[in-house]
Amino acid sequence: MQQITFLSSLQLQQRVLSALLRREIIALTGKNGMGFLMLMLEPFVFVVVLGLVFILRADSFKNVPIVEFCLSGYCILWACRFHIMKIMNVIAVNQALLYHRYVKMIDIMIARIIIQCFTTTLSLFLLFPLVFFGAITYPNDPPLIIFSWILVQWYAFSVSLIAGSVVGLYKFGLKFCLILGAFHVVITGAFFMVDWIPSTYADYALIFPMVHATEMMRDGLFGNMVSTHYSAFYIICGNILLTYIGLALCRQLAQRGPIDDSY
Amino acid sequence: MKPVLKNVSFSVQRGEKLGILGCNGAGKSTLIRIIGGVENPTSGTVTREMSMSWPLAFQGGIVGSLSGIDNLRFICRIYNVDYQTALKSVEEFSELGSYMYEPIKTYSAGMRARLAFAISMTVDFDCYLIDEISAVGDKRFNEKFKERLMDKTHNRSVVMVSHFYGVIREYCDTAAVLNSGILTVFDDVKDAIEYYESTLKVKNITF
Repeated sequence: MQQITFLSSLQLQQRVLSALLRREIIALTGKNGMGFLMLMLEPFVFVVVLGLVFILRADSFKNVPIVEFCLSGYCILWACRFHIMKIMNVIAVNQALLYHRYVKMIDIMIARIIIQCFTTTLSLFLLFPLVFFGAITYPNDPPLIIFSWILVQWYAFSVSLIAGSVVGLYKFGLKFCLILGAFHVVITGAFFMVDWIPSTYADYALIFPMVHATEMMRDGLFGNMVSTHYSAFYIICGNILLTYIGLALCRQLAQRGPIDDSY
Repeated sequence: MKPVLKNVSFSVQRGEKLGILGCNGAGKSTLIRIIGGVENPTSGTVTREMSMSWPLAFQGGIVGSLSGIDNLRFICRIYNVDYQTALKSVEEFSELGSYMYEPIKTYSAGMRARLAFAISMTVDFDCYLIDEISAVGDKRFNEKFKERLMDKTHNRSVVMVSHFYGVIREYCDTAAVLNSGILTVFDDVKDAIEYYESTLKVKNITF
Protein backbone atom coordinates (compact mmCIF):
# COMPACT_ATOMS: atom_id res chain seq x y z
CA MET A 1 0.00 0.00 0.00
CA GLN A 2 1.06 3.54 -0.68
CA GLN A 3 2.46 5.43 2.25
CA ILE A 4 0.00 8.11 3.22
CA THR A 5 1.91 11.28 3.83
CA PHE A 6 0.76 14.83 4.16
CA LEU A 7 2.19 15.60 0.74
CA SER A 8 0.43 12.71 -1.02
CA SER A 9 -2.85 13.66 0.63
CA LEU A 10 -2.35 17.21 -0.47
CA GLN A 11 -1.69 16.11 -4.06
CA LEU A 12 -4.77 13.92 -3.99
CA GLN A 13 -6.87 16.75 -2.63
CA GLN A 14 -5.57 19.04 -5.33
CA ARG A 15 -6.34 16.47 -8.06
CA VAL A 16 -9.86 15.94 -6.78
CA LEU A 17 -10.59 19.63 -6.50
CA SER A 18 -9.23 20.48 -9.93
CA ALA A 19 -11.23 17.64 -11.50
CA LEU A 20 -14.36 18.82 -9.72
CA LEU A 21 -13.77 22.42 -10.74
CA ARG A 22 -13.56 21.43 -14.39
CA ARG A 23 -16.69 19.38 -13.98
CA GLU A 24 -18.48 22.39 -12.45
CA ILE A 25 -17.40 24.73 -15.23
CA ILE A 26 -18.95 22.37 -17.77
CA ALA A 27 -22.11 22.11 -15.67
CA LEU A 28 -22.36 25.89 -15.40
CA THR A 29 -21.72 26.91 -18.96
CA GLY A 30 -23.00 23.93 -20.87
CA LYS A 31 -19.66 23.70 -22.68
CA ASN A 32 -20.36 26.51 -25.12
CA GLY A 33 -19.70 30.14 -24.33
CA MET A 34 -23.35 31.13 -24.45
CA GLY A 35 -24.15 29.84 -20.98
CA PHE A 36 -21.39 31.95 -19.57
CA LEU A 37 -22.49 35.03 -21.43
CA MET A 38 -26.03 34.68 -20.13
CA LEU A 39 -24.71 34.39 -16.61
CA MET A 40 -22.80 37.61 -17.01
CA LEU A 41 -25.62 39.49 -18.65
CA GLU A 42 -28.26 38.71 -16.07
CA PRO A 43 -27.04 41.00 -13.28
CA PHE A 44 -26.11 43.64 -15.82
CA VAL A 45 -29.63 43.80 -17.21
CA PHE A 46 -31.11 43.85 -13.74
CA VAL A 47 -28.98 46.73 -12.57
CA VAL A 48 -29.89 48.73 -15.64
CA VAL A 49 -33.62 48.03 -15.26
CA LEU A 50 -33.56 48.64 -11.53
CA GLY A 51 -31.59 51.83 -12.13
CA LEU A 52 -34.22 53.06 -14.58
CA VAL A 53 -37.01 52.34 -12.13
CA PHE A 54 -35.23 54.27 -9.42
CA ILE A 55 -34.43 57.14 -11.75
CA LEU A 56 -38.16 57.54 -12.37
CA ARG A 57 -38.55 57.98 -8.65
CA ALA A 58 -35.45 60.11 -8.36
CA ASP A 59 -37.09 62.91 -6.38
CA SER A 60 -37.69 60.61 -3.40
CA PHE A 61 -33.96 59.98 -2.97
CA LYS A 62 -32.09 62.45 -0.88
CA ASN A 63 -28.62 63.12 -2.22
CA VAL A 64 -28.03 59.48 -3.14
CA PRO A 65 -26.52 58.70 -6.54
CA ILE A 66 -29.06 56.28 -7.95
CA VAL A 67 -26.98 54.04 -10.19
CA GLU A 68 -24.38 53.51 -7.47
CA PHE A 69 -27.16 52.79 -5.00
CA CYS A 70 -28.67 50.11 -7.26
CA LEU A 71 -25.32 48.68 -8.18
CA SER A 72 -24.09 48.16 -4.63
CA GLY A 73 -27.37 46.78 -3.37
CA TYR A 74 -28.21 44.60 -6.30
CA CYS A 75 -24.74 43.10 -6.67
CA ILE A 76 -24.74 41.82 -3.13
CA LEU A 77 -28.34 40.67 -3.29
CA TRP A 78 -27.70 38.92 -6.58
CA ALA A 79 -24.51 37.28 -5.33
CA CYS A 80 -26.23 35.87 -2.24
CA ARG A 81 -29.24 34.65 -4.18
CA PHE A 82 -27.10 33.21 -6.94
CA HIS A 83 -25.07 31.27 -4.39
CA ILE A 84 -28.14 29.85 -2.71
CA MET A 85 -30.02 28.99 -5.91
CA LYS A 86 -27.04 27.32 -7.54
CA ILE A 87 -26.11 25.18 -4.56
CA MET A 88 -29.56 23.61 -4.43
CA ASN A 89 -28.96 20.85 -6.94
CA VAL A 90 -25.29 20.27 -6.12
CA ILE A 91 -25.90 16.91 -4.45
CA ALA A 92 -28.51 15.68 -6.91
CA VAL A 93 -26.21 16.12 -9.92
CA ASN A 94 -23.01 15.03 -8.21
CA GLN A 95 -24.14 12.15 -6.07
CA ALA A 96 -22.72 9.61 -8.51
CA LEU A 97 -19.26 11.08 -7.96
CA LEU A 98 -19.38 10.14 -4.30
CA TYR A 99 -18.87 6.58 -5.54
CA HIS A 100 -15.22 7.50 -5.75
CA ARG A 101 -13.86 7.24 -2.26
CA TYR A 102 -11.52 10.19 -2.73
CA VAL A 103 -14.38 12.54 -3.54
CA LYS A 104 -15.92 13.81 -0.33
CA MET A 105 -19.07 15.81 0.20
CA ILE A 106 -17.08 18.85 1.25
CA ASP A 107 -15.03 18.72 -1.99
CA ILE A 108 -18.18 18.77 -4.09
CA MET A 109 -19.55 21.71 -2.14
CA ILE A 110 -16.32 23.69 -2.19
CA ALA A 111 -15.81 23.18 -5.93
CA ARG A 112 -19.30 24.44 -6.65
CA ILE A 113 -18.94 27.40 -4.29
CA ILE A 114 -15.56 28.45 -5.73
CA ILE A 115 -17.13 28.58 -9.18
CA GLN A 116 -20.01 30.63 -7.78
CA CYS A 117 -17.57 33.07 -6.20
CA PHE A 118 -15.78 33.52 -9.52
CA THR A 119 -18.96 33.97 -11.49
CA THR A 120 -20.42 36.55 -9.17
CA THR A 121 -17.10 38.42 -8.95
CA LEU A 122 -16.72 38.45 -12.72
CA SER A 123 -20.18 39.90 -13.12
CA LEU A 124 -19.25 42.61 -10.63
CA PHE A 125 -16.23 43.46 -12.78
CA LEU A 126 -18.52 43.62 -15.76
CA LEU A 127 -20.50 46.34 -14.03
CA PHE A 128 -17.56 48.56 -13.26
CA PRO A 129 -16.92 49.77 -16.80
CA LEU A 130 -19.99 51.89 -16.01
CA VAL A 131 -17.40 54.24 -14.50
CA PHE A 132 -15.99 54.91 -17.96
CA PHE A 133 -19.39 55.49 -19.47
CA GLY A 134 -19.92 58.14 -16.85
CA ALA A 135 -22.94 56.42 -15.37
CA ILE A 136 -21.20 56.34 -12.02
CA THR A 137 -18.46 58.54 -10.66
CA TYR A 138 -15.08 57.19 -9.69
CA PRO A 139 -15.46 55.35 -6.35
CA ASN A 140 -14.68 57.17 -3.18
CA ASP A 141 -12.61 54.36 -1.68
CA PRO A 142 -11.94 51.36 -4.01
CA PRO A 143 -10.11 49.17 -1.44
CA LEU A 144 -13.16 49.39 0.81
CA ILE A 145 -15.34 48.07 -2.02
CA ILE A 146 -12.99 45.14 -2.54
CA PHE A 147 -12.86 44.45 1.18
CA SER A 148 -16.63 44.48 1.46
CA TRP A 149 -16.89 42.19 -1.57
CA ILE A 150 -14.52 39.69 0.02
CA LEU A 151 -16.69 39.69 3.13
CA VAL A 152 -19.78 39.19 0.96
CA GLN A 153 -18.17 36.17 -0.72
CA TRP A 154 -17.16 34.71 2.60
CA TYR A 155 -20.72 35.15 3.84
CA ALA A 156 -22.12 33.61 0.64
CA PHE A 157 -19.68 30.70 0.98
CA SER A 158 -20.97 29.93 4.47
CA VAL A 159 -24.61 30.35 3.55
CA SER A 160 -24.12 28.10 0.50
CA LEU A 161 -22.53 25.46 2.66
CA ILE A 162 -25.48 25.63 5.03
CA ALA A 163 -28.07 25.63 2.23
CA GLY A 164 -26.39 22.77 0.34
CA SER A 165 -26.10 20.65 3.47
CA VAL A 166 -29.68 21.31 4.50
CA VAL A 167 -30.88 20.13 1.08
CA GLY A 168 -28.95 16.90 1.57
CA LEU A 169 -30.05 16.40 5.15
CA TYR A 170 -33.74 17.21 5.19
CA LYS A 171 -36.72 16.73 2.94
CA PHE A 172 -37.77 20.36 3.33
CA GLY A 173 -34.27 21.45 2.25
CA LEU A 174 -35.23 22.70 -1.21
CA LYS A 175 -38.11 24.76 0.13
CA PHE A 176 -35.84 26.11 2.83
CA CYS A 177 -33.43 27.31 0.15
CA LEU A 178 -36.16 29.05 -1.82
CA ILE A 179 -37.33 30.87 1.28
CA LEU A 180 -33.78 31.70 2.32
CA GLY A 181 -33.10 33.09 -1.13
CA ALA A 182 -36.24 35.21 -1.13
CA PHE A 183 -35.48 36.40 2.37
CA HIS A 184 -32.20 37.85 1.16
CA VAL A 185 -34.13 40.46 -0.81
CA VAL A 186 -34.93 42.00 2.55
CA ILE A 187 -31.84 41.20 4.59
CA THR A 188 -29.16 42.46 2.22
CA GLY A 189 -30.14 46.10 2.32
CA ALA A 190 -30.52 46.37 -1.44
CA PHE A 191 -33.53 48.67 -1.23
CA PHE A 192 -32.73 50.96 1.67
CA MET A 193 -29.99 52.84 3.43
CA VAL A 194 -29.72 52.35 7.16
CA ASP A 195 -29.65 56.11 7.53
CA TRP A 196 -33.22 56.33 6.21
CA ILE A 197 -34.56 54.02 8.89
CA PRO A 198 -35.68 55.62 12.16
CA SER A 199 -32.89 54.96 14.63
CA THR A 200 -35.01 52.75 16.87
CA TYR A 201 -35.47 50.28 14.00
CA ALA A 202 -32.04 50.67 12.46
CA ASP A 203 -30.58 48.37 15.10
CA TYR A 204 -32.86 45.59 13.90
CA ALA A 205 -31.72 46.04 10.32
CA LEU A 206 -28.12 45.92 11.47
CA ILE A 207 -28.61 42.42 12.89
CA PHE A 208 -28.04 41.08 9.38
CA PRO A 209 -24.38 41.00 8.27
CA MET A 210 -25.20 41.76 4.65
CA VAL A 211 -26.83 45.06 5.58
CA HIS A 212 -23.45 46.01 7.02
CA ALA A 213 -21.71 44.82 3.85
CA THR A 214 -24.02 46.81 1.60
CA GLU A 215 -23.47 49.92 3.70
CA MET A 216 -19.74 49.32 3.55
CA MET A 217 -19.73 49.03 -0.21
CA ARG A 218 -21.80 52.21 -0.42
CA ASP A 219 -19.29 53.94 1.80
CA GLY A 220 -16.64 52.89 -0.72
CA LEU A 221 -18.73 54.07 -3.66
CA PHE A 222 -20.14 57.37 -2.42
CA GLY A 223 -19.45 57.55 1.31
CA ASN A 224 -18.55 61.22 1.13
CA MET A 225 -22.13 62.09 0.18
CA VAL A 226 -24.13 60.18 2.79
CA SER A 227 -23.58 58.78 6.25
CA THR A 228 -23.28 54.99 6.42
CA HIS A 229 -23.54 52.66 9.38
CA TYR A 230 -21.58 49.43 9.50
CA SER A 231 -19.02 47.39 11.34
CA ALA A 232 -16.56 45.14 9.51
CA PHE A 233 -15.85 43.36 12.78
CA TYR A 234 -19.52 42.43 13.09
CA ILE A 235 -19.55 40.90 9.57
CA ILE A 236 -16.40 38.92 10.31
CA CYS A 237 -17.84 37.55 13.56
CA GLY A 238 -21.10 36.68 11.78
CA ASN A 239 -19.19 34.96 9.00
CA ILE A 240 -17.12 32.89 11.40
CA LEU A 241 -20.28 31.71 13.10
CA LEU A 242 -22.01 30.89 9.80
CA THR A 243 -18.94 29.08 8.46
CA TYR A 244 -18.83 26.99 11.61
CA ILE A 245 -22.51 26.06 11.25
CA GLY A 246 -21.99 25.28 7.56
CA LEU A 247 -18.99 23.02 8.18
CA ALA A 248 -20.77 21.25 11.02
CA LEU A 249 -23.83 20.57 8.85
CA CYS A 250 -21.64 19.39 5.98
CA ARG A 251 -19.80 17.03 8.30
CA GLN A 252 -23.09 15.62 9.49
CA LEU A 253 -24.19 15.20 5.89
CA ALA A 254 -20.98 13.37 5.02
CA GLN A 255 -21.51 10.96 7.91
CA ARG A 256 -25.20 10.32 7.37
CA GLY A 257 -25.22 10.40 3.59
CA PRO A 258 -27.72 12.48 1.65
CA ILE A 259 -31.39 11.56 1.84
CA ASP A 260 -32.67 9.94 -1.30
CA ASP A 261 -35.37 12.21 -2.60
CA SER A 262 -35.76 10.51 -5.95
CA TYR A 263 -38.63 8.22 -4.98
CA MET B 1 -34.18 1.36 12.82
CA LYS B 2 -33.56 -2.14 11.53
CA PRO B 3 -29.89 -2.99 11.02
CA VAL B 4 -29.04 -4.11 7.49
CA LEU B 5 -25.84 -5.91 8.44
CA LYS B 6 -25.07 -7.50 11.81
CA ASN B 7 -21.59 -8.38 13.07
CA VAL B 8 -20.21 -8.81 9.57
CA SER B 9 -16.51 -9.58 9.68
CA PHE B 10 -14.16 -10.94 7.04
CA SER B 11 -10.87 -10.23 5.32
CA VAL B 12 -9.74 -10.54 1.74
CA GLN B 13 -6.12 -11.49 0.97
CA ARG B 14 -4.10 -10.24 -1.94
CA GLY B 15 -5.13 -12.20 -5.03
CA GLU B 16 -8.14 -13.74 -3.33
CA LYS B 17 -11.45 -13.72 -5.13
CA LEU B 18 -14.41 -13.62 -2.81
CA GLY B 19 -17.99 -13.95 -3.97
CA ILE B 20 -20.88 -12.86 -1.81
CA LEU B 21 -24.29 -14.36 -2.49
CA GLY B 22 -27.56 -12.92 -1.31
CA CYS B 23 -31.06 -12.40 -2.60
CA ASN B 24 -32.59 -9.02 -3.45
CA GLY B 25 -32.57 -6.68 -0.51
CA ALA B 26 -30.20 -8.79 1.55
CA GLY B 27 -27.79 -5.87 1.85
CA LYS B 28 -25.23 -6.91 -0.76
CA SER B 29 -24.94 -3.52 -2.35
CA THR B 30 -24.86 -1.80 1.03
CA LEU B 31 -22.03 -4.10 2.08
CA ILE B 32 -20.00 -3.40 -1.03
CA ARG B 33 -20.62 0.32 -0.73
CA ILE B 34 -19.35 0.23 2.83
CA ILE B 35 -16.24 -1.71 1.75
CA GLY B 36 -15.66 0.79 -1.03
CA GLY B 37 -16.06 3.75 1.31
CA VAL B 38 -19.13 5.21 -0.42
CA GLU B 39 -21.14 4.89 2.78
CA ASN B 40 -20.00 4.87 6.36
CA PRO B 41 -20.97 2.00 8.63
CA THR B 42 -23.00 2.95 11.71
CA SER B 43 -20.42 1.10 13.78
CA GLY B 44 -17.30 -0.89 13.01
CA THR B 45 -14.33 -0.29 10.76
CA VAL B 46 -13.05 -1.11 7.31
CA THR B 47 -9.26 -1.43 7.00
CA ARG B 48 -7.97 -1.08 3.48
CA GLU B 49 -4.42 -2.20 2.82
CA MET B 50 -4.74 -2.49 -0.93
CA SER B 51 -5.77 0.14 -3.43
CA MET B 52 -9.42 -0.49 -3.97
CA SER B 53 -11.78 0.32 -6.81
CA TRP B 54 -15.08 2.06 -6.41
CA PRO B 55 -18.04 -0.36 -6.49
CA LEU B 56 -18.25 -1.23 -10.17
CA ALA B 57 -21.96 -1.47 -10.67
CA PHE B 58 -22.28 -0.80 -14.39
CA GLN B 59 -23.56 2.69 -13.70
CA GLY B 60 -22.25 4.02 -10.42
CA GLY B 61 -19.51 6.60 -10.52
CA ILE B 62 -20.47 8.33 -13.76
CA VAL B 63 -22.50 11.51 -14.06
CA GLY B 64 -25.55 11.70 -16.32
CA SER B 65 -25.20 15.31 -17.38
CA LEU B 66 -21.61 14.90 -18.57
CA SER B 67 -20.56 13.29 -21.84
CA GLY B 68 -18.70 10.00 -21.88
CA ILE B 69 -15.48 11.84 -22.64
CA ASP B 70 -15.88 14.23 -19.71
CA ASN B 71 -16.67 11.39 -17.35
CA LEU B 72 -13.53 9.63 -18.49
CA ARG B 73 -11.49 12.81 -18.04
CA PHE B 74 -12.84 13.24 -14.55
CA ILE B 75 -11.91 9.72 -13.51
CA CYS B 76 -8.49 9.99 -15.14
CA ARG B 77 -7.78 13.14 -13.13
CA ILE B 78 -8.90 11.69 -9.84
CA TYR B 79 -7.02 8.42 -10.18
CA ASN B 80 -4.00 9.91 -11.93
CA VAL B 81 -4.35 7.90 -15.14
CA ASP B 82 -2.96 9.01 -18.48
CA TYR B 83 -5.93 10.31 -20.43
CA GLN B 84 -4.78 9.49 -23.97
CA THR B 85 -4.13 5.79 -23.32
CA ALA B 86 -7.33 5.53 -21.31
CA LEU B 87 -9.33 7.14 -24.10
CA LYS B 88 -7.96 4.70 -26.61
CA SER B 89 -8.88 1.65 -24.58
CA VAL B 90 -12.33 3.00 -23.71
CA GLU B 91 -13.13 3.83 -27.33
CA GLU B 92 -11.96 0.44 -28.41
CA PHE B 93 -13.82 -1.49 -25.78
CA SER B 94 -17.09 0.40 -25.50
CA GLU B 95 -17.53 0.85 -29.28
CA LEU B 96 -19.60 3.95 -28.64
CA GLY B 97 -18.08 6.00 -31.45
CA SER B 98 -19.42 9.54 -31.59
CA TYR B 99 -21.84 8.84 -28.71
CA MET B 100 -18.82 9.39 -26.48
CA TYR B 101 -19.44 13.09 -26.95
CA GLU B 102 -23.10 12.96 -25.94
CA PRO B 103 -24.35 13.27 -22.36
CA ILE B 104 -24.66 9.96 -20.55
CA LYS B 105 -28.33 10.57 -19.81
CA THR B 106 -29.11 10.08 -23.49
CA TYR B 107 -27.54 6.59 -23.44
CA SER B 108 -29.42 3.33 -23.25
CA ALA B 109 -28.80 1.08 -20.24
CA GLY B 110 -26.56 -1.15 -22.31
CA MET B 111 -24.47 1.74 -23.61
CA ARG B 112 -24.10 3.15 -20.14
CA ALA B 113 -22.97 -0.20 -18.84
CA ARG B 114 -20.40 -0.54 -21.61
CA LEU B 115 -19.00 2.90 -20.91
CA ALA B 116 -18.93 2.54 -17.12
CA PHE B 117 -17.23 -0.81 -17.38
CA ALA B 118 -14.72 0.39 -19.96
CA ILE B 119 -13.84 3.42 -17.84
CA SER B 120 -13.42 1.39 -14.69
CA MET B 121 -11.08 -0.99 -16.49
CA THR B 122 -8.66 1.85 -17.32
CA VAL B 123 -7.63 2.27 -13.69
CA ASP B 124 -5.35 -0.27 -12.01
CA PHE B 125 -6.41 -1.40 -8.56
CA ASP B 126 -5.20 -4.18 -6.27
CA CYS B 127 -8.75 -5.06 -5.41
CA TYR B 128 -11.89 -4.76 -7.51
CA LEU B 129 -15.34 -4.42 -6.02
CA ILE B 130 -17.98 -5.71 -8.37
CA ASP B 131 -21.66 -5.26 -7.77
CA GLU B 132 -24.00 -7.55 -9.71
CA ILE B 133 -22.19 -8.21 -12.95
CA SER B 134 -25.07 -10.21 -14.41
CA ALA B 135 -25.96 -9.04 -17.85
CA VAL B 136 -27.11 -5.66 -19.02
CA GLY B 137 -25.56 -5.81 -22.44
CA ASP B 138 -26.21 -8.25 -25.25
CA LYS B 139 -24.57 -11.64 -25.54
CA ARG B 140 -21.54 -10.51 -27.49
CA PHE B 141 -20.77 -7.80 -24.98
CA ASN B 142 -21.27 -10.09 -22.03
CA GLU B 143 -18.58 -12.32 -23.49
CA LYS B 144 -16.37 -9.28 -23.90
CA PHE B 145 -17.03 -8.12 -20.36
CA LYS B 146 -16.09 -11.50 -18.98
CA GLU B 147 -12.93 -11.76 -21.01
CA ARG B 148 -11.79 -8.28 -20.06
CA LEU B 149 -12.58 -8.77 -16.42
CA MET B 150 -10.72 -12.08 -16.26
CA ASP B 151 -7.77 -10.49 -17.97
CA LYS B 152 -7.73 -7.45 -15.69
CA THR B 153 -8.33 -9.15 -12.37
CA HIS B 154 -5.87 -11.98 -12.95
CA ASN B 155 -3.60 -12.11 -9.85
CA ARG B 156 -5.62 -9.38 -8.15
CA SER B 157 -8.26 -9.44 -5.48
CA VAL B 158 -11.94 -9.32 -6.27
CA VAL B 159 -14.96 -8.93 -4.06
CA MET B 160 -18.05 -9.69 -6.08
CA VAL B 161 -21.65 -9.67 -4.98
CA SER B 162 -24.45 -11.31 -6.90
CA HIS B 163 -27.80 -12.94 -6.40
CA PHE B 164 -26.91 -15.50 -9.03
CA TYR B 165 -24.33 -18.14 -8.21
CA GLY B 166 -23.38 -18.96 -11.80
CA VAL B 167 -21.06 -15.98 -11.96
CA ILE B 168 -19.61 -16.61 -8.50
CA ARG B 169 -18.90 -20.25 -9.32
CA GLU B 170 -17.08 -19.16 -12.45
CA TYR B 171 -14.82 -16.49 -10.89
CA CYS B 172 -14.37 -16.96 -7.19
CA ASP B 173 -12.10 -19.04 -4.95
CA THR B 174 -14.09 -18.49 -1.79
CA ALA B 175 -17.66 -17.47 -1.21
CA ALA B 176 -19.92 -16.11 1.47
CA VAL B 177 -23.67 -15.93 1.86
CA LEU B 178 -25.50 -12.91 3.16
CA ASN B 179 -28.81 -13.81 4.71
CA SER B 180 -30.94 -11.67 7.06
CA GLY B 181 -28.00 -9.38 7.72
CA ILE B 182 -25.63 -12.18 8.75
CA LEU B 183 -22.62 -13.07 6.64
CA THR B 184 -21.45 -16.67 6.62
CA VAL B 185 -18.06 -17.27 4.99
CA PHE B 186 -17.25 -20.60 3.35
CA ASP B 187 -13.84 -21.81 2.20
CA ASP B 188 -15.39 -23.80 -0.58
CA VAL B 189 -17.64 -22.16 -3.13
CA LYS B 190 -19.69 -25.38 -3.44
CA ASP B 191 -20.65 -25.29 0.24
CA ALA B 192 -21.66 -21.66 -0.06
CA ILE B 193 -23.89 -22.38 -3.03
CA GLU B 194 -25.46 -25.31 -1.20
CA TYR B 195 -26.17 -23.13 1.81
CA TYR B 196 -27.46 -20.33 -0.41
CA GLU B 197 -29.87 -22.70 -2.12
CA SER B 198 -31.16 -23.90 1.22
CA THR B 199 -31.84 -20.31 2.30
CA LEU B 200 -33.63 -19.70 -0.96
CA LYS B 201 -35.78 -22.78 -0.49
CA VAL B 202 -37.03 -21.38 2.80
CA LYS B 203 -38.16 -18.32 0.88
CA ASN B 204 -39.60 -20.39 -1.98
CA ILE B 205 -37.27 -18.97 -4.60
CA THR B 206 -35.86 -21.25 -7.26
CA PHE B 207 -33.70 -20.63 -10.26
